[in-house]
Amino acid sequence: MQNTSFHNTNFPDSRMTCPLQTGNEDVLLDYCARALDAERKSMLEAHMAHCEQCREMAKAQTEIWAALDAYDAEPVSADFDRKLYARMEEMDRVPAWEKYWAPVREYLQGQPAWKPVLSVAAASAVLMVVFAVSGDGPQPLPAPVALIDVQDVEQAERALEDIEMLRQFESASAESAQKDVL
Amino acid sequence: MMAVATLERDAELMLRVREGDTESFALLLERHRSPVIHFLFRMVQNQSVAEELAQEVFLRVYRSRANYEPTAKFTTWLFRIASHLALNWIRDRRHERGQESLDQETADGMVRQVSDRGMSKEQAMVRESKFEEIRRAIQGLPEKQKAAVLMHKYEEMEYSQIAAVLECSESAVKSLLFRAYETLRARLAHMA
Repeated sequence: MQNTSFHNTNFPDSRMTCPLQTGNEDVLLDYCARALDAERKSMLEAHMAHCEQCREMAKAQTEIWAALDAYDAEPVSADFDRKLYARMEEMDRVPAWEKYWAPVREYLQGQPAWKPVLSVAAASAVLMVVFAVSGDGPQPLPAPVALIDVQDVEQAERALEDIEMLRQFESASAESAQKDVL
Repeated sequence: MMAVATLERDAELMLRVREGDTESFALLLERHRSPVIHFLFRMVQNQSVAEELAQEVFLRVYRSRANYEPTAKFTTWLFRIASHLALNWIRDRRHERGQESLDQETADGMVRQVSDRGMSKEQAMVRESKFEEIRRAIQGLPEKQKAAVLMHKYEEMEYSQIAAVLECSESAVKSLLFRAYETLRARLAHMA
């Protein structure tokens, strides 16, 4: 029956350490499940004779263990095997590739985290195919264009006009001064 | 791989199934049909779902026969498949139903009726009441604790096997079981 996994190191001598205080509660579970061998059982019973905590726990656990027996299962349907063999025959008839794909599909169906990843992968694959067929890949970005400040140009033009006017004015002033001298 | 001389009976049968021996599959089915269905019934609380999941368990075993290697105990492999299917079913159903209460499950007829088996009406009612209380107490456990208790109490599996099925350490299994039985003791104290 159960593996007691409870070694004699827990019982260095005939006086055992308390299972509840040493983290060996499984010893009590095994006792209630009647899975302890005779030697361990007698050592535990000797311990319980003076450990009220273990005694109470073992008593309660034994009672619960017995109560759980009431949770019995239904008899198996008479046609269980017939249905199973019918499905096995059907499975043997499916194509070879489906036999290999079915376990993968079942695995993926049981892994919800894969579902969004698969959706994204499928969408990406579709987009790649569309681009490949149309020949229009994503358009490259246009080269950066130098932006010229319009206000600066107008200001420069006005300055040139002012200089030209000043130059004409000075020229006219010089001519009239010459006439006065003559 | 284990030496053939030391192979357990189930592994021997499974190796014959791998070679195409259908009678060996029938023997394996005969040996494990009831334990697997009973475990699944106690996990999912519904006999028809339990049988449907059990069909899937044995179909997976049959489907995997060609690649079978006896690297682990056969029952460990079998119950690992069964517990994965049961836990997935419970998770999917919980997701679908939005964590409805246990009372709702009962109202939906998810629980089988306890068969009378020659008992008086009064005895049958007492038995049904006890069954229902235990069902609720076990159903209320976290899923891993529940699976551990069902394998430990009803299938008499070793800690190491339960650990292999649930993919955790033996000490984790002991801890799961201790906590689970403590919870059951508290919930079912009045029945003791």
